[in-house]
Amino acid sequence: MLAFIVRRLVVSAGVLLAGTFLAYCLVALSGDPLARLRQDNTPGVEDRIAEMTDRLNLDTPVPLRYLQWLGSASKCLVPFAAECDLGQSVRGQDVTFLLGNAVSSTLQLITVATFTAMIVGVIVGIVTALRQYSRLDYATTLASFFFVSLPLFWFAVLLKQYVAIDLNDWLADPTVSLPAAAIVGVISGLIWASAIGGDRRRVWISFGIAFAATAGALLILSASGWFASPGLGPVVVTVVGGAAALGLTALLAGFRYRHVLYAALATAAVGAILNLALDQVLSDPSYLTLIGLLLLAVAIAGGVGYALGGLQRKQAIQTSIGVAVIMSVTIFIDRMLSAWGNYFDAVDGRVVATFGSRTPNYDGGTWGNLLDTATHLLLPTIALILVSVATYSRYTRASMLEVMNQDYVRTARSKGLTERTVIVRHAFRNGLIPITTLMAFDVAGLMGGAVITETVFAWQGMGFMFVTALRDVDPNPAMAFFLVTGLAAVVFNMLADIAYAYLDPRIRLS
Amino acid sequence: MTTKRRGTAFFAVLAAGALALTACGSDDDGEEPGANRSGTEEPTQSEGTIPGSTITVAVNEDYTAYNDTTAIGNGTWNSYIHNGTKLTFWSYGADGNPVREEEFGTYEKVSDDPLTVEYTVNDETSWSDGTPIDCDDLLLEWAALSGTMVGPDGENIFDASSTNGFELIEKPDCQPGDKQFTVVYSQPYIDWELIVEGGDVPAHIAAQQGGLTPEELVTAIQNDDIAALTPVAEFWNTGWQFNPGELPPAEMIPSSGPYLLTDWQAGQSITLTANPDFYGTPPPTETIVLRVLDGDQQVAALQNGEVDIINPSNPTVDTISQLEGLGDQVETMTGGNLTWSHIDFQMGPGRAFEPLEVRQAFAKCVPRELIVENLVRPANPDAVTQDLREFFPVDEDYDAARETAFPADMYGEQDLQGAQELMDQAGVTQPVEIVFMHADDPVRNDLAALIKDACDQVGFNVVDFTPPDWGERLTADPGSYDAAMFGWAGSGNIASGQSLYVTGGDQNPYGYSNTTVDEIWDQVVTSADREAARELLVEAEAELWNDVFNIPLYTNANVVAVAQGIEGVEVNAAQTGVTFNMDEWIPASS
Repeated sequence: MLAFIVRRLVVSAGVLLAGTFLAYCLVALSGDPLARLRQDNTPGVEDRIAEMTDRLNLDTPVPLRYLQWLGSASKCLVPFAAECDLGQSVRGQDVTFLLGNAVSSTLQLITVATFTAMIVGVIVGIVTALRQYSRLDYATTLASFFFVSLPLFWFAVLLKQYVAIDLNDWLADPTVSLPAAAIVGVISGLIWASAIGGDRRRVWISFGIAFAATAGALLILSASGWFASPGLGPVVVTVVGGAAALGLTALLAGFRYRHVLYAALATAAVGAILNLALDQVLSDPSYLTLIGLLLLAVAIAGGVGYALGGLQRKQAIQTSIGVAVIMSVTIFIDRMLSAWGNYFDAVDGRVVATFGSRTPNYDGGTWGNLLDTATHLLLPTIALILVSVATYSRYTRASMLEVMNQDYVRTARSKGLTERTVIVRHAFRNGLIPITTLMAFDVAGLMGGAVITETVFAWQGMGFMFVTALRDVDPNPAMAFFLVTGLAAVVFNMLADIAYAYLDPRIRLS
Repeated sequence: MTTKRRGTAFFAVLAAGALALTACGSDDDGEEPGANRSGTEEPTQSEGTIPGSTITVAVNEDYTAYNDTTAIGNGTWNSYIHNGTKLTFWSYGADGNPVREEEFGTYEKVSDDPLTVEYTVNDETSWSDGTPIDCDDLLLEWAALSGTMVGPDGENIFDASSTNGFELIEKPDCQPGDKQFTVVYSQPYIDWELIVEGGDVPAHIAAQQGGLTPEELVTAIQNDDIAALTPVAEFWNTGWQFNPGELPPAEMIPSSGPYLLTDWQAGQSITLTANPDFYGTPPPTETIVLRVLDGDQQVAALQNGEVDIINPSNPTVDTISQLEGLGDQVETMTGGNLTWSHIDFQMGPGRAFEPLEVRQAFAKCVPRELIVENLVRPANPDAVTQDLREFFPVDEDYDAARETAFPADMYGEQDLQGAQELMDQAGVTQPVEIVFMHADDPVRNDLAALIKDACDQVGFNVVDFTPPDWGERLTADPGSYDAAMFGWAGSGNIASGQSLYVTGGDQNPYGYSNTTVDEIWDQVVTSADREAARELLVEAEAELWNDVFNIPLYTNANVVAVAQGIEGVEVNAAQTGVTFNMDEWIPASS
């Protein structure tokens, strides 16, 4: 394994080196960085042309300029030397600094989107695989192909119009009319009915319940003015906790052994109590406190699972931690919405933003600022998620279907295992193996930023830096982009291989 | 500063009145702190700054440097901010012509020979840290931009963006604290109004960072003490150049204008706050936020209320139709700017365009009106063909100059038949192959297609040539093309036009030579009277048309859209951008 890794590293380094040379030459030869100045007729423009030529060594032939760049860039490999020099941009800015900013904002943008897309995509994939050739399956397939082939530029315009501008207009006087509630209800009913499946009668029952619940909830929320000042409150947090406990137990352990259920319910109860008890702490915590609280919640859940788990200790711990995380996220959202009124006033009711990463000069404390970030992340995240969810769900579906037809799944069934155990324990795990590779590639690719998404939503990350560099014929920032994405690709490929070997013992043996 | 917006003061009065009314109607106390600071001022100014008012404007590029007189910091993206934070003796008006800023100080030409200008900084004019703007600021400006401070290596120790004009000024003689100084030019210079600024960078900060007192700085400059000035120059070159979002302490970047630069989020926003102690008229809006946003995304941001004012770069038909779709929500204004596109000819011996008739024929076949109709008018309904080179449709004297200098009967309309006749007259073998160089972008490609369509009918064979290094080839490889189409970004400067037209000029690689034109330009540049110089330029224009030196096509469209209720925003043709009169913007009164 070690020899394999070393060999891979050496080859990758060579590929990276050749790649940088190629990329440098291509960018440098793609145009004229002085074009803007050459069309300028203000006095002293020759001085500025001379200065830029001198500063960026434009009179040096491109291959030699590449070597100069390589010379200073290679200093970045020396650890702790703090000599890293990736050159200057056309506008005279230090590229190392630009890169730092770009990486951090790209990470901010993609982290939520990637993880949400992975989780949702895998869930959708599994559900559609289990309900193969159902209405839901066909509908999801259609939607997947639709989203994958969507031109992102156009989609972004739609998002800005409907999810930002129109939604904000609606928020000025947020009431749901009867027909609107009915339409949303029908959509919800269709989704649930096809997801749950069963015979005709059951389908109609599912449809009816989902329709009534959705439309009713919308009307009640509208009438109670919830949309004008949304929030969850301790009751909803507790209900979510209880539901999470029941749901996760059903999924991971089943109700045959009660220990797991007790542990999960106990965790939910502790969570609900802590939510009230920590009210003071949660009113304006620092980010560190928040992370600490999440860790604390996981630790408590682990303890509860360990203490109450009995023979199903491992499953109890897993389930309890799951419940704790879900509750933490719910409490997080609840608290974030508590800043709604303050934020709504600060942005004059234009809650959902169409560009940028934050509202200038707004400081609403931890929760207000998080809400601000969330409203700016909303549109780009939706755009990113829809495309990746489509890919993930298709891959997961295919992989799950393949595994479900394997002999060992039939064997597991014939042993008399419950369908839940067969799917969760035997099929799901093996079905995930090919997805791991996909995830690794995806994370590496996302490090490069989502070029179009970042451009359209004015998010100054890696992709934006790269596009700007190309437009300005500015090799240094483009090369910084190339270095980071290239390295990420190499590293994550390697991680994918290692993860593969871990998940699939057959690979280790060969 | 109100002088920038001549003629719209009426609206300012109206708006101010409306504001006063709403203030009284909605508020029982009526009186706002800071209002009516002086009973003697005009009604427009008595309002003062409206507390809590904010206007957000979209800009295309992020800020980089406080010192915009260095070669590296000289960019329009910095002007957008400095329009509010720096006030100097003059500024560019909406048509690119200089406007005096009398709140800062005054200047007067006292002699034509030698050209002598007397500058007086008003007594109360000071940096926002309280330091008066005086002799040391002027001396540092001169030292940095005159190119005379040469280090041991023979290079100017200051990386000046340009030594234009300052190189002609003799070292001013003033003592620390002087508010009045005399500037003497070694020869007459037409753009003398656009040289000395006075309030661009604070000398006392540069001195302090270079380890000198302001008095020592004055002495060092008076004595040409390069050793003492070198650390000052180092700071001047790099100390005011920033990494994105890294704003230095406020005392390092004092303002000479009505606004203070108070916040900068890298790639996101720049916040300017009205300086409560500003020596001049307080601006109506307390906070101006500039948000960095690509032109294509600005309309949606305006519609969503995230920005109040947009001025998208390269507006298209789509921009206009989107803005029209917003109806009463926004007010859309259109106009031109000073960036003009044109076709230049290689007319040296043996070249295709050497015979005058061939150039005339080309000028007749190019569908100039159609180009404007297709490419410019959708974004600027009032657009006309650009018929002159040194005069723009936004100029007051454009029409008169056009009347005299532009042979409308020859080139006023596309004339294919006339072009064909001229080609036959020229006695050249047809078709004449024309290597037509331009940038490889959609607009230029469309233009080239229109031109090829028309001119191929009259005996030309226009061959597109779009190398990535076309800009360099213009002067570096004149043999590689016959005609070039590109734009010049003009400014209010007059003298800078000289090198385009005179024999052997730096920007005239076309082999064009006309002694009359050379003489006129010599007179223009060494004149000291703008009006007289522009009269002379009309003659030059006529000569240039006689020779068909080049074919001017159109000026770019300029679109500004403003959220309902905001007053005082104007289309600015100059490169300083829409923020040029931010100190006159009046926020919506709700």
